[in-house]
Amino acid sequence: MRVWNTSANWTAPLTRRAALRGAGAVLALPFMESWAYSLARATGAPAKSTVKPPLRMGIFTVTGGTVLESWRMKTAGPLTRMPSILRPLEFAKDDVLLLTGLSHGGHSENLNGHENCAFKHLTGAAKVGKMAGRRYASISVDQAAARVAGAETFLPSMEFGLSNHETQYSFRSVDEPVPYEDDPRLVFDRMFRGRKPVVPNWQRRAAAASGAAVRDSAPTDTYERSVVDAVSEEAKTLRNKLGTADKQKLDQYLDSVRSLESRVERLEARLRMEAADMKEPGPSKLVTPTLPDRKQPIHKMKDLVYRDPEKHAEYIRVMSDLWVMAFQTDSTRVATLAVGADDAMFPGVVTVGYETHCHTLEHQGNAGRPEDADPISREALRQIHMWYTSLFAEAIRKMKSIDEGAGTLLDNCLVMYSSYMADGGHGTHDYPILLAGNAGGTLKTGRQIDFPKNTPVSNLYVEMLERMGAKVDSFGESHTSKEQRFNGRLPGLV
Amino acid sequence: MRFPLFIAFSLNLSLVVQANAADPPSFIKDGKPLLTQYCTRCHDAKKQEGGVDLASFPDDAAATAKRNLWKRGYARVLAGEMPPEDAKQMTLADKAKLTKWLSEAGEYLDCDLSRRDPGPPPLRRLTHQEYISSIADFLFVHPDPRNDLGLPSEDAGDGHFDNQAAILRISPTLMEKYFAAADKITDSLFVNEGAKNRVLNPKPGPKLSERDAAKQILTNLARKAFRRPPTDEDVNRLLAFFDKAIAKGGTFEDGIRATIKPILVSPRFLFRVEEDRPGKTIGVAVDDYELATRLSYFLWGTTPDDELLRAADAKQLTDPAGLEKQLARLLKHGRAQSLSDALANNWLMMKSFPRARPSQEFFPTFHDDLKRPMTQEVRMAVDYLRTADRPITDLLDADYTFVNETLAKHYGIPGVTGRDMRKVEFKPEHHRGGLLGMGGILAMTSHTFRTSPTQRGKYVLEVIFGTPPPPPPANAGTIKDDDPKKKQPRSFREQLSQHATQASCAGCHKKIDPLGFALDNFNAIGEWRVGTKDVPLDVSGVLPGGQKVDGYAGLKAVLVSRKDEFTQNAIAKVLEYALGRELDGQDECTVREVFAAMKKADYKFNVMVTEIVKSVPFRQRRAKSEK
Repeated sequence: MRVWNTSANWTAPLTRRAALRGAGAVLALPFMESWAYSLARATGAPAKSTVKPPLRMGIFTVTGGTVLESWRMKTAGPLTRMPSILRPLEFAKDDVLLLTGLSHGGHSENLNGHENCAFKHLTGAAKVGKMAGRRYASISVDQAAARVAGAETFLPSMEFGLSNHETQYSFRSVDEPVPYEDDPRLVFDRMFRGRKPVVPNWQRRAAAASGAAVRDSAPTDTYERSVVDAVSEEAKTLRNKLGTADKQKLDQYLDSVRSLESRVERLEARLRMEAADMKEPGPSKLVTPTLPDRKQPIHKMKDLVYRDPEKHAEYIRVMSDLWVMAFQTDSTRVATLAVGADDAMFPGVVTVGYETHCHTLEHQGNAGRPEDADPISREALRQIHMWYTSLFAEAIRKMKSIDEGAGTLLDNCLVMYSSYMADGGHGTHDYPILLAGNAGGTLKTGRQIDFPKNTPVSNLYVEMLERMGAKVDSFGESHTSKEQRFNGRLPGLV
Repeated sequence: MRFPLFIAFSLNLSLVVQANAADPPSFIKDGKPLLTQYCTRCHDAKKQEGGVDLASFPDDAAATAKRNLWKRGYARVLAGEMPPEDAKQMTLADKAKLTKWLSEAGEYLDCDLSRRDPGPPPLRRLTHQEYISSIADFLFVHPDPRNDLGLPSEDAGDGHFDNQAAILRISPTLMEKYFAAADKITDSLFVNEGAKNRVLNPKPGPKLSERDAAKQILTNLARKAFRRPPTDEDVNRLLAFFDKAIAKGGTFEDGIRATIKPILVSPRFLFRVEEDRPGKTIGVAVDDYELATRLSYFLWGTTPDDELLRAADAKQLTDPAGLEKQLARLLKHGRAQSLSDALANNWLMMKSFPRARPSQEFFPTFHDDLKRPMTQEVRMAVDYLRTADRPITDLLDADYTFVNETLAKHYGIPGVTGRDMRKVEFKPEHHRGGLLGMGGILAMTSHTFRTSPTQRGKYVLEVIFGTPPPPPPANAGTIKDDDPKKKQPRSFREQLSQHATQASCAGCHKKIDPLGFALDNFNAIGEWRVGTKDVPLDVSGVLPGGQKVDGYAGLKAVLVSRKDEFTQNAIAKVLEYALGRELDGQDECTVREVFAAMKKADYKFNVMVTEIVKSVPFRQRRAKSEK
């Protein structure tokens, strides 16, 4: 079959707009090389010495809170033996940092317990709620990071895994929830549509950039671009006929088309750079996720995930592989993976009692206070969370094994492992938070740090964003919380 | 099936709706000064804390159109939640003044037709369902939006319609998906000979040049995609793609192929565009094509068909008789099941049924063969109101339902064999009839191993009466199964009541739980059961206000006695779906008018749909503002 629409390059004369863009590109630094180029300028002589690959930020978040007494050590200090839920990470205990005491304050309006926790989880918003079915919070830490770290990669950020209407974690702005992709095949397609996975050769990229900066050539006149031009023109004509509110809505359309346009350009530059890497790729072996059969509909797959822990584990594995692969291939530098489901069943994982439905267990084994809980349900929950950690540990093991020429992938990552609730009783106090990777040397790992009760999680997000290169005055409720402290920061992470 | 005659159609709304005779409460004079003093530091156009803007009303009329806003504000101020602790506090006198104004502004309703505001007409993006239905109607291919096209799921949340303009945003990610989807759809069109031949019509030949054929094909496609005849400019824009492909050495087919994507990602396909136009009154009639589009997406969930577009060409829809004719045709057609399904899925919340919690460990018969007819039963019950011209109150109580063999067995109804669904009559010993006796609803409101009277009571309040209880406080616990220090409660009911003694919980649970306990003869998957000595059932209770309720029969009697509340809630829901937005301001007048008409016509579902189509907000849009 001829594929007209995706690959045909038209040789017809450039449109005026395209020609203008071409001129612009000569003036601007080609975005794709700018990481290496600025690095080259900063380090002086990058061609010979090893350069550090860019920092990536990963969030791996599970459902159901945790069982705190089995998650943390009794006292702060060096991690001697990992607490039981975290035991699968024993091999990586020098690479992790356990933070306790962090909490969300924030008001909520018209939300149930799950929504309240979920909307606050990555946003630290001072106000979350729902109005006429519309959900609001504030920008989430991943989307804020994507604003600074997203410009250089193929995709600004990725969000995938299981997340439904109640468990909405990411917000692009106050009332723009970001949907999560639940189909592993579509996650793969998003990264590699019209592009081949390749391991970047960071040293080569830096060296290439230290010479004459490669200029972005004038964009070619492709079919895709002519469609973008045509519908943009159409939208502009249409705009004049609309009322004020409708104009704003149409502007969303125009902005989206524009961002697609820059994606088209990005893909072209990206492909050139990756073609060079293809001849001389980076030192690690490419992670290759085993994607499910294309014929199996996603709802069937999810149905099994909810019922059968073996299928559930398979699903988490392929999603984690995609998550690691997204970083390894530098498809994005910000990726959030939502794992688990409160409504899933865990026969086999749970070996005590008769109940295996996670949500029922959360409520029976409920609460920050173990003395209120049914001990059997609480033990069952501990088993479920240890099971989640064992799958997270597999991903960490892979990241640790990927050599990037200067440190491992894990070294060059800032990973947060957490849950949207603090505990199964919809708690928002004392969240389970573990950081993995030393964020390019900006975290001192191998320890547990206890912060005073109710220190905002938002303070951590300020720290994370700053490491990702953002200038942050405040984030979420870092400076507005009643519990505001440390000037919105977290001391002692380094 | 014979379709009933429609009741006489009349557009002169001669109904006298009680309107407030008093002057409207003045925002400028009484509301604004206080709001400026205490509220707009956070709730102005710029900050909009909590999504609330109390500052941007140029005049009284703009403010009185926002009844919901003032109602909410009244509740918050009265409860002392606003202004918040850390803000400037009101003097008692000011608080009294402000609550008085808020309550008046929230209650004020002017239903005079000469001043009727059709409400905001938001620009609506197609839902994914509307998107693929529309494409199927002019490209004749049927991709699945999730599995084939990878469009992100659009979950509006329980009880909300997914066609609400406010939640139908467009984002860079979605745009990327639309572009990719257009490629996939184009590919699937050109490998499907049947679809391709229908689209590539007329074919070029000795008497028809390729370019002229292309022009006709593109004109037809654009007419269906944009829901009105394309302008020359539109056609030329698409023809440029055709020409370019030909110039590059492509065939005729390649040329047409290149035009599909620019149609499918056009703003005029993805959005239902209505022109902003001035008028002498607050509202101005939408044109024939815009009305055809509103009608078609409301009833069929898709782009107008040829006959409807021809009626619009002939300007028949702005004529009451012409509108009546088309409405009757569309409503009678099988495709109007789209409306029934939207109501079953969103209003009646059946879209949540796949997440029903009862598990096969505890209920071995709750497998897919039982779940399937449970879903179908609800959908068919709603659609039957339309096809058989039944009163909407059949949803509260009826002597019939729809089952197949598996579901009939589940209900204890003998004599039904086979997988096909069919209508059956109930006998009193079956203890069913009405929505709340349906397995789907009962299972959806249960836990893994037991019923949840709270969930079921909440369903009654929210779905039947439209008065959802507020969500429990985030720190609310759930009932604990046992506590060794206390006397072991005998029944689950005693257990639940033990834990609802806290005043903060009891306030709501007094309203919720009796409704749910009345349904406790149905187990977690909706099987009928009776109490035993060891496991007693107590299905009686007292509603706030003293009304007694006992079992499902008793509950049905209560529901039927409150059928007017139910009907008005149903009208509000269907109107919300028809308009694609939250109801506010004078929409309440429309609800009352439709209700008055239904009351005269035995509460018939089709009368409701007809009256909604005739209503001001459906046929008009707000006139262009002066600014």
